[in-house]
Amino acid sequence: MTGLLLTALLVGPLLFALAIALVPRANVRLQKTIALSGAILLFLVSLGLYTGFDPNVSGYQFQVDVPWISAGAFKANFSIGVDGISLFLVLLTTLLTPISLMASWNSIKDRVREFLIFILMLETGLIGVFVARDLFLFYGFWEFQLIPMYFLIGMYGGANRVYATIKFVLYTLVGSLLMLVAIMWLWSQAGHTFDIETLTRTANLPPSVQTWLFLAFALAFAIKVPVFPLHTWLPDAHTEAPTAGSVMLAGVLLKMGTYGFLRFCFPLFPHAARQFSTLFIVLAVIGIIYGAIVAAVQPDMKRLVAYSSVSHLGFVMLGLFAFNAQAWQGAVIQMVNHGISTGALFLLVGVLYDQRHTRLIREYGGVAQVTPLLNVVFLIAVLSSAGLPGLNGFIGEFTILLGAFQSHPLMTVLATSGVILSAVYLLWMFQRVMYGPVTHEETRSLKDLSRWQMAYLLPLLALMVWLGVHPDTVFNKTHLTVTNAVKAYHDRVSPDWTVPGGSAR
Amino acid sequence: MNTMPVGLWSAPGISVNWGITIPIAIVVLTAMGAMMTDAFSKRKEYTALVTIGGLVVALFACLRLWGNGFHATFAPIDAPIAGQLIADNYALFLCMLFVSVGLATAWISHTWLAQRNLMHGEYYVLMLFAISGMMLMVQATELITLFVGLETFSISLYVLSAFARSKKRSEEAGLKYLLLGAFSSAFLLYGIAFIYGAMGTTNLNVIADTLAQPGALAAVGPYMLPAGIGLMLVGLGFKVAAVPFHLWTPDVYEGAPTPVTAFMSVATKAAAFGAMGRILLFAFPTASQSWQPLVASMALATMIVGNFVAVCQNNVKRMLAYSSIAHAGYVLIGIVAGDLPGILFYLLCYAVMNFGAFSVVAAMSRQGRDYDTFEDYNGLHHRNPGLALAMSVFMFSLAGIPPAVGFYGKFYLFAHAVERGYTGLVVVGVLTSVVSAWYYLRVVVAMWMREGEPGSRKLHVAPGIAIVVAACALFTVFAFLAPSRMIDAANDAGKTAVTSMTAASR
Repeated sequence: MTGLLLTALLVGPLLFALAIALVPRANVRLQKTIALSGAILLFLVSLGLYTGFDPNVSGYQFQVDVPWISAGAFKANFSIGVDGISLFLVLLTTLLTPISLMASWNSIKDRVREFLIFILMLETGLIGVFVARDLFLFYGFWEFQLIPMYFLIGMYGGANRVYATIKFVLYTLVGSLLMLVAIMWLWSQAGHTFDIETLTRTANLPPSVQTWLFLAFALAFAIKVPVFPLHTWLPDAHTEAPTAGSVMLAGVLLKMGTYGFLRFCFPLFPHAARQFSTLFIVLAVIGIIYGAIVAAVQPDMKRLVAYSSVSHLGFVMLGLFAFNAQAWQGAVIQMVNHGISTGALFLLVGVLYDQRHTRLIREYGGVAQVTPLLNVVFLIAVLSSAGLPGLNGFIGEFTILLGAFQSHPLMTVLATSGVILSAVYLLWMFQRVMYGPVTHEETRSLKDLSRWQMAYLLPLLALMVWLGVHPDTVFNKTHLTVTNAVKAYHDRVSPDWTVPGGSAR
Repeated sequence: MNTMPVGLWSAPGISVNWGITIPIAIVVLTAMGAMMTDAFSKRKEYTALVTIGGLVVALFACLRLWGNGFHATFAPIDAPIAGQLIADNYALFLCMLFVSVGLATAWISHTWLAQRNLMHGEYYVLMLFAISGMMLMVQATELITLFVGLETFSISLYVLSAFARSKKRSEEAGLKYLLLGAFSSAFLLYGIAFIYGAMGTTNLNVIADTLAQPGALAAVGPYMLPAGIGLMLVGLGFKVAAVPFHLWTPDVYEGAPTPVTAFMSVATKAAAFGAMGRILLFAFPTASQSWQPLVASMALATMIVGNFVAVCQNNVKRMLAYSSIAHAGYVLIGIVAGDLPGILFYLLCYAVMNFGAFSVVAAMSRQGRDYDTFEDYNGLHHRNPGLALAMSVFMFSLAGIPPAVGFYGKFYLFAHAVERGYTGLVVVGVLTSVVSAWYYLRVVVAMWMREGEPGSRKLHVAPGIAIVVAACALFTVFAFLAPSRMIDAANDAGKTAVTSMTAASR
């Protein structure tokens, strides 16, 4: 009955959201309590995934298979499961959801009930994307998470929120809908099935077809990641989003893109993936450097962190298109790391913004004199994001660069400059905000981190240190899945590969 | 297939099966009954009740016929006036759709009419006649019968769109619809004449049989038949509001009473598409060379024009009018791909969500005034959260974003089109869907993300409208979880149609 665990994680948030909807509007405190205790409970449940996940078993675990739609040739199943790649993304989602709720506990004052419901809906949508083993189900979740995010930015965001949220939705829809056409094509040509494993096993598509389908899928994923030059929606969305929205967006949403490459593009369209690998490597490196340079000149802290995401996700893309086990291991752990570090940075910017109502770096200065504790926490988050050895960011970047160097030495050398640049823009921002004389009188009245704020920041800080000194926590569980995936990819692109059990076409 | 009398009456020697006319007959009799009720009772509610009762009975009659595969005819096949009506699942599926839409319209009309002192029983009578005309149209296997059905519902709708005759807009809508509609009917009739000229018959079964013979198409000649089909497409294109025959749509939809608009936007479209499917995909599949390019270009133009012009609207009712043009474009892809199940399923999904959206527009009006600019929706979630939520559901569904039936409708239609090699059309379809997300989300933005006028009071919705809105919204979301039966029904209806036509013509 291990499958119940995953089903609970998917249905749980919706049930809590329903419970919140039934609480009288005026009783905000009860609504918040239900949401937070529910989210924490779900996180504890999801820890069962980690402890129960057997690292020596290849393929999906905690599987559930229930028929869902069956009408003629149109069959889709509610089939879910986790493997080494999706395990930590699910955990990241369940971890960041209660943290987002805690961070918004006092900052969201208006329409709290809707806010809580949207956060929980988002949790369901995101977990669904990572656990779906059926292409149709995956697509349903993929689109579904747009709705709560659209409302979170549009209802609780800054002054320019409507523009940002519409831009976000339209941008992602263009990619998603072309991917939908590709999914239809796959379904109609590859035996009327949506089952991802079956498709991977039997869909032996000719390279010319693979090219088109790959491009359709890759566009959707590249917009989500976002890969340069498709990243322009991201800074706007982040700048306008409320803190919780930013944390979920950077922490989890962007990983849907990189996850999609691993889960769909490489297994299904290996030839096309290889054909376009150079392009994506180049774009990844441009993203790393460009994101870092643009981040350095941002006057707004949140925009700076947003552009740092473009840079960091560039590393993940570099790792993915290097096609070796080490780089993929690095990419998987870096997805998790980025969620932890960037999530923490957004939370801290939120702490400052809630008190001063500005995110402009020049409005701050000398904050460290007033708030020593915030200073320490901020420093750890910045160093983790900048990849200081001993913290988690270093592990991911280093592993990716090691792996990528084996296949693309020159590009990797260029990408390494991104590590230096990230230290530059993060530390420079940190210095301008925290040190020097106090430039604005309002800064003197800043409050230091409260116990409540420490309560939700500490888990992230602990993870930064823990994953920095003991990355095997992740590597052990992902190892088998990743090595098998790499092996399968190389088998498929080798010229003498044939479909096991004959061709489906 | 042999005919199965429903235990009514069938004359010896003549294969007459009155059973298949029962649903239409019930609707027509209800119309008569409603007229009498209206004449002899002071209470207008009774007319509405008679209407609703009759439609419920008609719905059961359709269900009773479902799956029996009646293709009985009023005369032996070889008689001069060969089989004119058919009650296959294809027709029944659509008939049930019309009747259900009629029921919902009757529900929401009551308050709306009362608010404006328009409580006249004729409203319901005309609506019933319109429904009977639509049923006749989709049951017809004979072009003349089909035309009679079309005229029956068209004339009823001309009157209905001008029903709020105290309002200039409504009068204008009725007149526009009448003049242009008359033109389109003439085109259709002209087309029928050409087809008669080419084929020597107006019976769709006979035409289908004749054209199925090898070399038959060449024998007919290259001019007469394509001209006939083209002229008919003009007439039907007008009814489904396809570009370039769409210009009446926004004005009529905006001017007509909102419940009538709701009724027209889904039922008329479904009826016209039902007839289009029947004509093009049964009678002339072999002549597809002559109509496929036409329909394909119509589909392209309809999707592009409908969606792009919808973006420029400042009035929700007009926006929904252009959106319904755009949706006609998606269904036309199904016609090109020859995908009847997909068309039927789409029409069903579209009927629910679009009717729901127009019901919300109807709910917005109060004190006899319409409030349908985008600004009127500002801050609706404060004034009535339930209504705002329902409208959001309809908007996301129309945009084709899961979890809503609108997504299935699109998916099913497009997936079949991709399967049959019309990927280019589908790509245009999804890209214009992105454009459509822009204007649908404008409504959502207004409702949730903008502030209404300060001091605006709670908006109360009449129970009749509230029930319909809630039912449509719940269906839109929950049918997403278990759509198999709906898709099965559409598959069944689409597929049996093909077999029954061939069987009936044997």
